[in-house]
Amino acid sequence: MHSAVLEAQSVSVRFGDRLALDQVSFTLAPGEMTALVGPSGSGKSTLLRAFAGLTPIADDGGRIVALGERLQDQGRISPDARRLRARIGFVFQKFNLVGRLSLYSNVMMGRLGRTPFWRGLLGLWDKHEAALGHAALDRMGLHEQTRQRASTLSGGQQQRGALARALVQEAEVILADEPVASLDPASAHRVMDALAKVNAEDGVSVLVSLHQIDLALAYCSRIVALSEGRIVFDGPASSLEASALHAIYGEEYADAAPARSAVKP
Amino acid sequence: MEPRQTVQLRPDAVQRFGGFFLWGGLLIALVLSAPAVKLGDLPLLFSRSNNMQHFLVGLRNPDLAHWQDYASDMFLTLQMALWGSVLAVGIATPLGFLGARNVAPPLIQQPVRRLLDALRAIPDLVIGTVFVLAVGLGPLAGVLAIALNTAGVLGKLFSEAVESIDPQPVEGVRAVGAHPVQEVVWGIAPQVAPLWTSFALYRFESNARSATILGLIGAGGIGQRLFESLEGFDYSATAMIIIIIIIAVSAIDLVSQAIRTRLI
Repeated sequence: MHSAVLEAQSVSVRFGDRLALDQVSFTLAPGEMTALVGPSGSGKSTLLRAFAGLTPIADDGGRIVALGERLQDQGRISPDARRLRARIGFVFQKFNLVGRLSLYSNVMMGRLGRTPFWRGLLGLWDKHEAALGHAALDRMGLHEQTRQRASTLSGGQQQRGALARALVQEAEVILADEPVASLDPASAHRVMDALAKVNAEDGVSVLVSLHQIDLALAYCSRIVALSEGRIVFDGPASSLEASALHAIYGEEYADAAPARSAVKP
Repeated sequence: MEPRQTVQLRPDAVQRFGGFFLWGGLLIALVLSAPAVKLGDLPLLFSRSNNMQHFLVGLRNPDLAHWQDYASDMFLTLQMALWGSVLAVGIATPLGFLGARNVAPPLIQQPVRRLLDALRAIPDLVIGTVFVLAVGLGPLAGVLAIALNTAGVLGKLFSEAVESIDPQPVEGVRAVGAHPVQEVVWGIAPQVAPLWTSFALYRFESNARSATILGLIGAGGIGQRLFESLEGFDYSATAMIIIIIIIAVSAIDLVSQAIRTRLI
């Protein structure tokens, strides 16, 4: 198949005068689980959103290739972006479920990109799709909450629901934007466990941005660090040194790596 | 009472002067407007006591014999209000989305808003008169008048509700590869549904009253019966009709309010 699941070729993103990403080149290999780390405002979210075709990149020769197809080129999101998004799961920091709908409805929305327009619009899921939905909910330990309104679930349950949606989507790669930043530590570990399990068991590639270095080191074999829109570190977790982290995070270091301030690399 | 409160809360000279200016201005406007609205004729209310007495006697003796006729006319009026309101929701639903800045591009959104402004600006009594010319006397003219005017009001309220939604769930729907129309149905509609329903019910309440007034232009129903009884000096019939209108409109208000409070 393809040698890379996701590929950014000298991608820049501008918000007004601010350069959020500055000539970033990056490749995610199939089956990889990689962490994006860096202080707030370093461009982690922007890179993830660019990979989902949610944020347009600058027209300066950069491009984004996802699952072997051109997603963004010459500052334009491909007209095929919808079809590609259907194959890319996205997990948001704030879960982004529709609160008034049941968890089941939210999870089944994962099929919208993969079913004919009218059937999706009316939510007429067939047996195979319904089975996918229930299997995904079971796997995420949410069987009991199937019919509950999404807004009544805890943060951790909602985030696992969002993961179930990506499973129903049969996503080939999952982009997770600070998926545990809004959760308590126990829920955070449960969500990260689920994400790692999907990566290990289904071979789904995962690119996850994390503010906390400890979680990145615990769950991901490769770490990519961004600072002011540039990649400042890219390598195996074991080679990331405390001094490098200090340089990357600056003032945010104590917050991002509390346990490591004392630990040697 | 208001100015004193202001003075107590902010006892600085500028505030005091501003309050004096505002209330003094209102007083002057009232005095200057009194002749125009013929406030001087107020004593006629009592001096023409013969007419009033006649009217009050009639009101004290409601025409109980024909209450069933009046009730069935009231029912027709409510049916007009119902159809008018439902048609209005049908028109306002697409316009509500297309008139929202966060859904439609300005090239569509702005004209839709102006169309809604126009629908709202023309009173239903005027629209009804035009429809009487087109479809003749009768309830249909009233239904169409209510539908258009209410569509203007609901369309604007619907658009504003759409503009104040949380965009994050919509992005969640977009991220799975959904069609833009699916984003609206799955991401936006569930968020605005309670508010929209509440607005629609509230307009149905007001339309029950509007439909009564539309009897004036021959749109049928209890309103027409009311104006006929007034013109025929049949005040005991008027009394019974008013009683029935009060009962029906209050009942609808109560039920609709109960539903609306449960929705939000």
